[in-house]
Amino acid sequence: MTTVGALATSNAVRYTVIVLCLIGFVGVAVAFGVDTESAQPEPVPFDEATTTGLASEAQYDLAERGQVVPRAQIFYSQYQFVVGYHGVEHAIDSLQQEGHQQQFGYPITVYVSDFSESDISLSEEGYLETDDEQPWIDAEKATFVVESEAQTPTGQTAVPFSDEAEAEAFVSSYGGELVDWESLQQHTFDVDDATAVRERVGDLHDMADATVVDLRPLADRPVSVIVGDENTSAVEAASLSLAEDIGYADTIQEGLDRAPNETTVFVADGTYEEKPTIDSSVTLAGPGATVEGDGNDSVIEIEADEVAVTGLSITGVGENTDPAEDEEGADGTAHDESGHSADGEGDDADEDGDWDERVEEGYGHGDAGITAADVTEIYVADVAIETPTNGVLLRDVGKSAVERVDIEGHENWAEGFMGVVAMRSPTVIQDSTIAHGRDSIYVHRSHETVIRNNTLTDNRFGIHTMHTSDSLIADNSVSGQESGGITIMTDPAGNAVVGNEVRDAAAGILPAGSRSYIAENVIAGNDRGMSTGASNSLYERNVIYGNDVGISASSIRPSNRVVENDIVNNDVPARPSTGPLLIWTHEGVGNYWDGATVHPGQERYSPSDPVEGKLLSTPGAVTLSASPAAMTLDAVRDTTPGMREGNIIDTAPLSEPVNPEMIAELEEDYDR
Amino acid sequence: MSNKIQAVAAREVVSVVRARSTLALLLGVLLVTFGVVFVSNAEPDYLPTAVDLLLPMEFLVPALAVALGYRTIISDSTRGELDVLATYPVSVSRYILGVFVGRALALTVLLTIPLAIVGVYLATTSPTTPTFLATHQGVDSPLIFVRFIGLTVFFGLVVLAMTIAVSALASTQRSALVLGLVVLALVIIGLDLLILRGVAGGTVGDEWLTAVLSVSPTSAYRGLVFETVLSTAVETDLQQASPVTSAAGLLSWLLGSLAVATVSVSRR
Repeated sequence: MTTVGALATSNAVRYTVIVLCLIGFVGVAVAFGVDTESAQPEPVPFDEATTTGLASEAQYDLAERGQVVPRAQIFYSQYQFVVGYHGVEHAIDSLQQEGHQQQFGYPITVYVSDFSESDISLSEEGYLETDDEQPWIDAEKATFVVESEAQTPTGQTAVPFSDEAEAEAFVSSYGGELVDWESLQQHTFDVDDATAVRERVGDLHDMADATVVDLRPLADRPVSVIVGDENTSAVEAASLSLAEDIGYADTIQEGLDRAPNETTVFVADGTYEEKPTIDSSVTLAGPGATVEGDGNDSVIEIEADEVAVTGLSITGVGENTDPAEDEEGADGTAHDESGHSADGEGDDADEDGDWDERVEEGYGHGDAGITAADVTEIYVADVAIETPTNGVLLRDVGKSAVERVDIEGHENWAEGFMGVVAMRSPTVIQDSTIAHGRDSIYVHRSHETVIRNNTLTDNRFGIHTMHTSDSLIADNSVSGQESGGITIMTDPAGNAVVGNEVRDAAAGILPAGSRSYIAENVIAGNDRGMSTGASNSLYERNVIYGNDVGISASSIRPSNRVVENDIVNNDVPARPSTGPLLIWTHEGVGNYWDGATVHPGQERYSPSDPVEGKLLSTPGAVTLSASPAAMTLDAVRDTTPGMREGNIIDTAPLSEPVNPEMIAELEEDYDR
Repeated sequence: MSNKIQAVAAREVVSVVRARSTLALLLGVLLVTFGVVFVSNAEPDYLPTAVDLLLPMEFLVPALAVALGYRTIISDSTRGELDVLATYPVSVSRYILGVFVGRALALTVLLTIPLAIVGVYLATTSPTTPTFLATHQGVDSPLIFVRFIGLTVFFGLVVLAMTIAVSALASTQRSALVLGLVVLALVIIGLDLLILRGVAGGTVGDEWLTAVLSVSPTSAYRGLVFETVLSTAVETDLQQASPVTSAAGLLSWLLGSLAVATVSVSRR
């Protein structure tokens, strides 16, 4: 008799089976009886959390001044990463966002900074100043002070205390009222989001217009000195007026030295082998003149306020890009950017200098066609520069505009440097043409810079910004970049990238930081079209056409709104990243995916799905995608999204493109 | 459990184990379960895996129960074994209970093995995450998965009892198969379709929906999974189902079916 047969006869076997059944039954009963809520997780070191709320530049600045913001960290039921918030108000704002719960689950535990043991004072701006470290406290056990004078760089905040008496003491010094965690969650904080950046695009254009209107008169000053010729007809041809008193000079430097303030030094046609320095408020003009340096240093140095340079051609620029070339070599490659990561912390603060000293040295001190440093009201227009290094270098310039310049950089970008550099110099760069060299435009810590209507070709980055917030990059035509068309690095906030056309680059638009507005761009024929590297951001109405990968998701925390984009003819429409499922639909509006039109009326489309992404390109994919198995998988995918690995879903794909004219144009260009 | 029930149950287990088709059933369940787990790209966590398996289980479990149960009584009847049994001192109710227990054991093993393997896989696999970032479990626990397995087996037992009832009602092997398929269709979509019609037509009022859902075994099972498994991670203001009436609904189908089977065999 087999062992199976033994069941029928052996009591031992029977009893074993009965006991096993009982154990199983009890086990299941216990599983239902026991609360599944795991023990409360311990707070994690803040720098290991996935953080949001404050640009890294602001974090460095606060740290340098001994100022802090009340932080929060949240453990969500459906999200495996611990989310850290610079500013309790950002945590509250996130919790109040529509759809937040669907994506992250509910908060299991919230910790906030406890200020009870800290010796606090408020700075002039209302920032909390203390030398003490704040321990973490369970938010449920904290008392919060709201509506007080306490501020963070992004607005009003709530200050948490474990000790209610300490909270009351804070109120008596700085005002406000006490609330508990429950009511704090009903409190509304005025936290900017990306839609506010959309509203600001017009303001930034107006601001740039105003800057240019302010500075253009510098190019209209009466001519007081003519260099190289005594004929005034060229001056009249350039429609400049003449001063009452006109002098003549043989060299540009001599003319500059002789010209009174607020007049123009006019350079007659010809080539001038010199490296002039402008140290008074004059304008240097010369539509037919060439200034030729000797291959060392910058050609024109500006050392005074209210200076304009117009209409010159500049050559013979020096080849040095580094003030300390003995230490690190002159090509600048020893310097490393802080990388391109969504939540990257950027460069480490330097022990004895400013935290960005290394980048400043690397990028801010090379030779240039025109260098301006520590001055304000600088206007550069209609200048042509041929340079192995920088074209125009602005360092610590208060107010400036660069327009209609034509810069030709080094043929081999690795040997060249930047077309226009703005270092801590908010500026307007427009209507210019910059080719070759390393980066056409490099902007560093220059908030509210406006870069528009430029044509930038064949280099490493077309536009490259670091630690630059609240800026506008609009209507530029960018193509042929080895690394990226428009690349925003570090962790800035509030940038707008609007209406640009980026083609045939390794990457089209790579935003970073947070609260950014990426809209109405045309991104075509790149290896990678666009990333969603900036968090809490709005990506809308872009046309993403014919790239190897259309959109690559690269924000670990799902916080972006990606809607009304046309994603057409890309080999891979979208590629997910580490982190949970992303839903690219908002209030019932999704994107136009050409692949989603294969099954008309399709209710959800997953561009990152290995089958759905290939509907238009792989024979048989349509048949497979219509199988009940595929549909079953689809149906369960957007439940518990926070616990699903890298996937992108559009729950309401559009049936018609948003910008059909542009797509038709691109179809012609790319011959599809 | 009386020795007589045990004897009948043991006989059922032996016949299940000896049938080659049992191995095919096990392979089928393994294939579907693992297939869903590996294709769904959920994090290797208990909760999303349970969510992924829910829908396939609504098809697979009734199919398995019908396959295991539709021939039980009718084959005893057609082979004349019922007549033989009638000469033994075994009451009809004990005979039916014995048949059910024996088949239920088989069903439990067939469902538990693949699901337990998935559970062990989940317990030993950790999600791939960047090491420089702090992570935590979220709301997830093996208990969630044990609950899911328990509910799935319970659902299977209910459909098994229904199948045994139609097997007792059938007069030939063929009619047993047809009736088994009717049970399958009713359980998988039929009852839910009726409820959908009822809600759309207004015959089922909103306040009655959770109660009516308890009448459909599949909806009752799904509701229990939502309320005891999924609800641990998703806070909802709305109740997805009434756990008590759902459990009562399933239990009623189970006991009612066994009663029908008993009455039917007694009348033969």
